[in-house]
Amino acid sequence: MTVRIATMGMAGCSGCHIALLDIGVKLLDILKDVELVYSYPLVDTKNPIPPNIDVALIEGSIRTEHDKEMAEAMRKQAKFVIAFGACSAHGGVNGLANVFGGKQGVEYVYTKTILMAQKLVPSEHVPQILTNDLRLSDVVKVDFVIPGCPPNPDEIASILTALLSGETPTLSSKSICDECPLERLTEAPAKLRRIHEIPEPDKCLLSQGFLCMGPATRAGCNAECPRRGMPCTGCRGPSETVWDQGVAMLDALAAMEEDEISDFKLPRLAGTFARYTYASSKLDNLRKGVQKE
Amino acid sequence: MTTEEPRIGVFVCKCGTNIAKVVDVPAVSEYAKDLPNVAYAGWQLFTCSEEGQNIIKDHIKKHKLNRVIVASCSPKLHEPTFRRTVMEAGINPFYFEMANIREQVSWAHMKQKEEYNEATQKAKDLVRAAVFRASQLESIGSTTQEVPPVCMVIGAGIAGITASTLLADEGYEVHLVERSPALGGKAAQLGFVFMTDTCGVCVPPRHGEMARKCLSKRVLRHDPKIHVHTLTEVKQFSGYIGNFQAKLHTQPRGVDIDTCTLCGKCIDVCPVKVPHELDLGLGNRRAIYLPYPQAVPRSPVVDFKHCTRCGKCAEVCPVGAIHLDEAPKDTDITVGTVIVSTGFDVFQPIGLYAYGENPNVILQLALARLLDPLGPTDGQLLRVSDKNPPKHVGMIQCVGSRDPEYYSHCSRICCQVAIKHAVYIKEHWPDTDVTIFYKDIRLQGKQYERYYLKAQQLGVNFHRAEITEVKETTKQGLTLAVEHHNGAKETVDVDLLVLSAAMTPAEGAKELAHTLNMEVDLKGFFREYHLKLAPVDTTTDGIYLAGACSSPRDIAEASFMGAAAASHAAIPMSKGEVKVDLAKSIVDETLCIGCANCYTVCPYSAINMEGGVAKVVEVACKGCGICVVECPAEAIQLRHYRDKQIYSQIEGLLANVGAAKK
Repeated sequence: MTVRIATMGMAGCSGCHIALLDIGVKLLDILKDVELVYSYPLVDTKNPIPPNIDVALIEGSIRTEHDKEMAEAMRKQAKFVIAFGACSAHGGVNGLANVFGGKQGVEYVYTKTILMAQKLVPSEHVPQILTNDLRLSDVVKVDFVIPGCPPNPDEIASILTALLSGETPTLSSKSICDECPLERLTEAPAKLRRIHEIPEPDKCLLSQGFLCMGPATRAGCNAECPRRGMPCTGCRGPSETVWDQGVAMLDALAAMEEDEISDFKLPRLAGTFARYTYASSKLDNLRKGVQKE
Repeated sequence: MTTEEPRIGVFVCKCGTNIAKVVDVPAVSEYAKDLPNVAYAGWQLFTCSEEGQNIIKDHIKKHKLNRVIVASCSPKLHEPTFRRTVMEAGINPFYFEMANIREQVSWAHMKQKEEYNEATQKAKDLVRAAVFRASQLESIGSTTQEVPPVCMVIGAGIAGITASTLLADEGYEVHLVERSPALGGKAAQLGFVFMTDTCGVCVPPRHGEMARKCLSKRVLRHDPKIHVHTLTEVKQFSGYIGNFQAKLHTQPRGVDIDTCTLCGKCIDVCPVKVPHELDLGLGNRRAIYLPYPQAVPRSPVVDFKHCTRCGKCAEVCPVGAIHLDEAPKDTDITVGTVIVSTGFDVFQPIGLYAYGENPNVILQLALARLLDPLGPTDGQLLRVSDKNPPKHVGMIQCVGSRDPEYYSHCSRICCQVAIKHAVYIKEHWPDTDVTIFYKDIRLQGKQYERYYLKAQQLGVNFHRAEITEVKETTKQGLTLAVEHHNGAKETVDVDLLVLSAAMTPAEGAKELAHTLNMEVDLKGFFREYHLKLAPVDTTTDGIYLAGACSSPRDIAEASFMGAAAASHAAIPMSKGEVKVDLAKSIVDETLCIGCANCYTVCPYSAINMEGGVAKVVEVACKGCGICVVECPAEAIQLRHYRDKQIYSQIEGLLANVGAAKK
């Protein structure tokens, strides 16, 4: 029996679809049992969406009225909806626009930036932008989340294979540090450092003062960045027990780096501690609360 | 956590009229009946009374309750009471929950009568929050920690020695750690002390004893249970009550205490002369020297900083007690309790009143050395500059004390010291004038006033005045510009000026506090658990304070504080164990990433890193929750305040928000 799969793209960069292709030769094994019924990189896609879809992979966050409508339409046809990648799962980098709000953001992009010669906010033949960037689960029920920016191809493959064989896929409940080979030092960093200050190899980046989001981030990527000397930016979102990724990391540092982080203001705070999760972060809820008042 | 269905009993208290005046108590109780899992709700006049507690017990039996909520006062007041009540009825004490509807409701909204309804509503909200939380509570047990009968006392001044001897008398083993070569602390420098005119460490004869004796000597002579570690500092420290591990670092003395006969030959042949720190630079000593004539332990010590290692002392020593190649050594000890009695230092008023410029401006401590019959001048009062007797001694009080710029505290002993010295001078050299310039004379203590009157009768001049300026300063004397309290201005000539400088925390106290993981206040004094009710306890169980390390104190206070600390330290040691409930942090080791954040921030050293994961030492943990907050992987939870327990409480608190608006 073939499984009917659909893929869809919202506000995103198509990077998750590239990651899907990055599965490589193994993709052929998966595609044996699959009928790809709807996929925008392959064929021109429009509403109506074909019926009886078994699994839908939805990339990107919900940024416009059109995104919202398409997500709802897909939900109606699909039995199992997967939020595919960081934008869809947690709001992604797009979510950082929420620091300023939708309207203000659009105005800025179309009238203040150099590339926009006409200095006009488009109003005709374009879908209405939403006030806030939303993750997929804010709009429709989501059955499973594949995190990451982009998701790890091996992980996508194992999840799809599990689904095709009728099993329930799982994600690691631990944090990046659990997979990270770097040596942990049992002392707190003296001060925060930035990446151009070149970390010592083979030693925990956070212990050396580089802001690595590993502790609060869900494992499953094999700690690819930190093991190569790049601090984790937290693209896989919070781990199982973590209430809020950015807040957890901020708490961890607030306990020891008072002078260092007291200068952080909200935009920098959001971009550093909630780069991929701001739209679903408690920090954003606070700001929304302030706006309402 | 048990799987049994929660059956909650809610007991709302009127607290006489304290709560009932503002809150409609029966309405709150009626409201509670309809909340989820509530099996019984009722109200009493005084729930904390014997009768009220019996009612709780009866209803526990009658309604098979397994959770109990009392809506009354602050948990600080009666949580222990009701925990005991439910325990007596066979329920785990951590299944008890309190809603504070007195301090947070009736007292807060007492003034406006029309708030009656709103206050009642708030009381209902708090009860509802408690009910939601109660369903999530878990049963928590307790554990015991053995406490060995060994105490470490840090600092061998009056307080430390007093505590040590008392503990030894009670049968406990004591490690007395002192960083200087001899015992006695500041009191050993003083010669004679206020009021009794005796030596600082002198103990009067007690019942059945014939003669006075020396507190320091007693430590060595009478108590095989006291291990004295001189020239020693605490280098590393870890652990918790019953199991403190200390690494003591001992500097070499160069002389074997046991074989030395104190013949003094080594001192005579030593070619090196350096200023004696005991005499604050007024006298000299050799590189091998006796710290002070009555020093305990009674043996010379080699000052390896200045010693040239010429070896002459070792040559002349008839018993071969001198070892110039002695190395520092480390000793590891395990103790059940710790007493900190590190004493004080004296503020150095450099730049004030020509101190540091004019040699005739000295501190009270230096004057004590001059007046000490065994001091650098053999007890003669002489000007430092030319060794002539002074004609007019001036004393300035509160130098650095009660001064927001330096130390805002009253240093407690300066008035006594100045008067003691003034009386001594007047008694021995009646022709010498003594003038004390003071802000206030503060003499509170048994018989202190008598000494003050004596000073007045002997003709000591007391001027309530401020020294606005030192007008002239020469080797012969100083001219002071004085502004009296009544506004009158004059100039006064003195030829020896003595400054009563503030008491400060002992040098190195902050570093020691860091090593022991203890709190200090802004000025660096050790912080007590409670100023009035627990002045010798600290936030760390098993560590106690004695003497001037926590605040300026005089000898009498240091003495009875030493006794108090000994008595407190003896409590867990005499019981042999402490009981600790387990409402403490707990680590999920599968989630712990070993970042050591919790280990770093724990104020009680209650977390160890073992095998790459954090382990909570439940005996040492105080349940403050700092580790819970900072854990980036959220692998730590605090029992009794788990996330789900707090969230359900918040959920309960907010459950009615929409309804209230309608």
